[in-house]
Amino acid sequence: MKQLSYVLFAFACLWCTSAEAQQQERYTISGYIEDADTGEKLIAANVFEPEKAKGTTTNVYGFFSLTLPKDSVYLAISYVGYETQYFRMYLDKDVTMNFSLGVGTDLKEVVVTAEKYERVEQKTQMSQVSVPVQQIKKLPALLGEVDVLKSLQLLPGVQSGGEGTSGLYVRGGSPDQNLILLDGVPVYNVSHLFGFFSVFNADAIKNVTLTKGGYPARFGGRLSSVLEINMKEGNMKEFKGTGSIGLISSRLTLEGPIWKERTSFIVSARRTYLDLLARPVIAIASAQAEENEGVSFNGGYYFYDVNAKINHKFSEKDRLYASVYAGDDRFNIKVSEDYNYSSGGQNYDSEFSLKSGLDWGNITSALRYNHLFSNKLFSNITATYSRYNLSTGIESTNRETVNGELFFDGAYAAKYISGIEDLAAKIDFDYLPNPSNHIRFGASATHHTFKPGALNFRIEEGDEFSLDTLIGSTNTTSMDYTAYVEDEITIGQSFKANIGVHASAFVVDGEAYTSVQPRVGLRYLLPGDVALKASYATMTQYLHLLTNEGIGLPTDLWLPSTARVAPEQSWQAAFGVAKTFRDKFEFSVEGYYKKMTNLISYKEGASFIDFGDWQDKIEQGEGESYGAEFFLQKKKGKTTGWLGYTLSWTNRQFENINGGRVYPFKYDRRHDLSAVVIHEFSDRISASATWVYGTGNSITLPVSKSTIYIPSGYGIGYYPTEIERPSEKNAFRMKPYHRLDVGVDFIKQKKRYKRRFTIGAYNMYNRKNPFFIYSVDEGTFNPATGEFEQEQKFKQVSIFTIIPSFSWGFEF
Amino acid sequence: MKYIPFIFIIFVIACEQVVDIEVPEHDAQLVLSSFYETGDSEVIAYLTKSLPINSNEDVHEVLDATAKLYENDVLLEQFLSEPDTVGYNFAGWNDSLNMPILEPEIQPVYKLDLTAPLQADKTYKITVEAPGFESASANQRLPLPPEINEVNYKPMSRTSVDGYLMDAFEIKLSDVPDEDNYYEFDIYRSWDNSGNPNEWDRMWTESLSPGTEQGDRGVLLKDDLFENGSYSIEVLVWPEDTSYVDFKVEVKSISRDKYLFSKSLNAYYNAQDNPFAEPVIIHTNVENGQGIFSMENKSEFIIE
Repeated sequence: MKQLSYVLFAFACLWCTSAEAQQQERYTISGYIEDADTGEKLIAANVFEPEKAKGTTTNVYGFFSLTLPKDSVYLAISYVGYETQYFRMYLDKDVTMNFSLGVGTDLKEVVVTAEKYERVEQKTQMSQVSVPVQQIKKLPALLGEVDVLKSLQLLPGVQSGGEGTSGLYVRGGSPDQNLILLDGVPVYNVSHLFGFFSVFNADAIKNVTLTKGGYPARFGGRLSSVLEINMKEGNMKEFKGTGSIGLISSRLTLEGPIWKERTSFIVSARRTYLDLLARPVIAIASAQAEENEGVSFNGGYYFYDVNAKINHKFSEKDRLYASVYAGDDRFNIKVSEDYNYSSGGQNYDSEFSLKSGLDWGNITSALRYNHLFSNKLFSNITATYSRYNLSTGIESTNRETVNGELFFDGAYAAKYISGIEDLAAKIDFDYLPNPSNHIRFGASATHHTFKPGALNFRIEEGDEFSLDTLIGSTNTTSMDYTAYVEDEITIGQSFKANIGVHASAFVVDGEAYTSVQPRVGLRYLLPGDVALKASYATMTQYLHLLTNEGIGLPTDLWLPSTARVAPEQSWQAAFGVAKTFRDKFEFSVEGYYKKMTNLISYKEGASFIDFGDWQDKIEQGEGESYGAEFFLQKKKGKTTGWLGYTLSWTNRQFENINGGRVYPFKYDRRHDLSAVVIHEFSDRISASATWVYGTGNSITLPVSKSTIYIPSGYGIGYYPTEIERPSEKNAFRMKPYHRLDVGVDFIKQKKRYKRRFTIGAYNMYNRKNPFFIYSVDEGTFNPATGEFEQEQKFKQVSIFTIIPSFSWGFEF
Repeated sequence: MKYIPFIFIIFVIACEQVVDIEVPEHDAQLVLSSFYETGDSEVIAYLTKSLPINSNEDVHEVLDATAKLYENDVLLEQFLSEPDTVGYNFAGWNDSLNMPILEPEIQPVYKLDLTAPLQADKTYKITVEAPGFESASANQRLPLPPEINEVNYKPMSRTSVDGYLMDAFEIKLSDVPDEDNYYEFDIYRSWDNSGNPNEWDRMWTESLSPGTEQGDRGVLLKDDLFENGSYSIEVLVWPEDTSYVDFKVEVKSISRDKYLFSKSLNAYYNAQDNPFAEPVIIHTNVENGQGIFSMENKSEFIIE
């Protein structure tokens, strides 16, 4: 509470200071900024009055509001990649104005004062990166599958978990500590294909913003990052389509007006065809197996996802958005075996079949209603529903006859189900009383239903035995309440601050946890447009993900804080410097320290395979992460890209893990370097390359073996048992990870459509990067002794050696 | 069933390339195993050595060590090396004699006969020296005996984690507040009423009571949840026909080291053959070495 009082005091002081200069006659210009071709609202577009050095940016709905003194005003409206528009008027009353920006024809020439407003040194927010979706689409991708999350792994402070996986490890946090919002709705499982691809279809996405620290008060609920992904709204002006056919999947997106300039829709779908491609191969192999061994089998895997959105403009003040995402992964295998033989004059027949499957998927949906109370007060009401379900099962039947008479008839089935379901409502306000204050406030309530894993067994053995039982944890429900207020304050030309507070309460099983989280972000502009930035934020996370460190299995469980398992908490302080050079290069360096408490981890020896109460399988402990991030980015010109480097340390400490001693987090990565280059040779050809380097993951390996003698407890002395012992947890490092990916786009404008042909290669120089390590006993014959000698060896498994890719796409 | 994703990744997606990796070097250390329980007439220690994980060497025994026991830092006695041959192992075939070559299987036992029982609340130390090894030592305080206030037997009254009906023993304990205490629980059954200790048969135990952990022998308890120095725990065993069976409830005061060792050894056993299990580091209290020196004091309660 002491921290909160400091924040409130600072807030009051700054409010008074900023309001001091607002005592003359003022009027407000407000409206929306949109793409001229599609009508899509532009997020974070700039409205700037260079003569008065006042400006603002649009919110996530494209709305802006700028209050200026009564006078002649000269407005510059700009957005990266778009032609800047200028507008002069005499402001003597409140006005509503909407602007449509067209895509820039020659970006090199567009260097205007207005653009300074969107530079990194102008923003109060630090530790935040927006990657344009168009840029993401140009980056080389594994198997040609454009992946939003993997492109974020190329940013400083963000790491991938393992080869090819899409999990994000932000500033020493784990993937569950990322608040991933799709149109404002949390997405719990963001992976397809066991983590190798993310669930986000880039064709349906408008904007991606990652915040790694200095979180504004409007966000909460996770410790390490906020990833906002906004879906496109649909073209308001004309019917458009895009699509592509790739090695493992195809995509199609259609969008257009239902009622021109009033209502639009977008539908985007993607499906893999691994199952279809594998079907003939499996059929041939199965036929051979059936002929030789009487065994036939079948199986397959695919995933699909669908994004759909519709939006309607009732008036200039009222808009409605409805959006939905649905995606599923489905894996199945079926084996059957017929066997017959004769013995002692008897004929025995046996039929055996086994079916197994694994399905998991998300649904998220949101209904949002924007209402403009005045040209200074914007509101958004949201109702959301989301769920994540996992179901895996196995069924077998066994029927045996002797001389045609039934001898045994058995059926066995086991099904494991888990998931989480949310119903939420929230209201958010943007209040812009003057150019010096942008106040946001709001509240939300979320009802969670957790299904933390239950196993259903069914056994039928003729009339003799029958069992149908359910083992595992029961459903748990909880309520999550939040409220926040924040103010983006500008004082003079040099000082900006974002000060706020996020309050939350979590009620579960009669237990109520509350938290008040102060947030502060500061920016001071030195001469020469060098910005000094600092931030402090505390976060509380009421939901835990019980997961094995490593591959992103869908069997990971989302679980609530309970009376026994306290909420995770963190505080993070960051300090940085930012500067734009020659209007082309943005450079920033940030140092941070993050302390995390009540983190959860499996106990030593535990795993998700064990059943029983999940609370008995976990430990709670602490973690810390600190380091420095360097980021040099070129946003304009024919050659764009960035260079990112992170130097960091991340540790964990649990009372009952590693003997209570501090140990490195599995993803503690001392050095992490990424280089991204995109070059436009012409309107028809562009090429891209990414190179990443990272210190190897830390891993626990046994270094010694010994025999200890344990009392038998049965009065017969001691018995020897051989044990293997690591020196310390995560004391061993895998080899460094590095990889070069390249891609080339060939674009051609046809009569009725634009064609895009993309070729690329993942891991161009075929680096054998470590995926995991396992041990094996190998025996070698020693001719000198004439004996086989056993030796324990460790093997490193690498996946994804050089993988070429191509895709063919179209736009109309 | 839950292995499906892993199997799928390895066999369907992965382009597996296997390369050898080198593990860090390991200097051999002395490994001590010594478990003393009040009432024992001798202190027994087993001494082996640790080997690098990739070593071909089979011999772990250390037979030429000097081991000593100290009481409150005063030398009490030196252990005597009494290697115990417990059997023979096949070591090859002698063609000329046309018979197998057998090597004795030796257990590296060191014994110290006690002229007087070791005393509760005193601190004991074992030191071990052997050629080629760094000297190792371990300290333990012999705990005070636990105070059992009450034991109630409740046949077929509880359901285990696996859904089976179990017999429950409700055990009420007292201990000294403001002091960390650790306990281990053993339940024995006897098929006759002779009272001969050799007839007691130890049973597998488990517990659902808060604060309990499963050790390699059975249920462990730390006194975190004791209120005003007392606590009630339920220990579950498989059901028995009580018409023929007597029970003995044994509660042991154990050290923190024994508690952590037993818990980690149980986790180690459970993690074997589970590729998804988190690695386990078995607890040791041996300085400059490995293994465990444990001392425990017990109280018992007979139910007839």
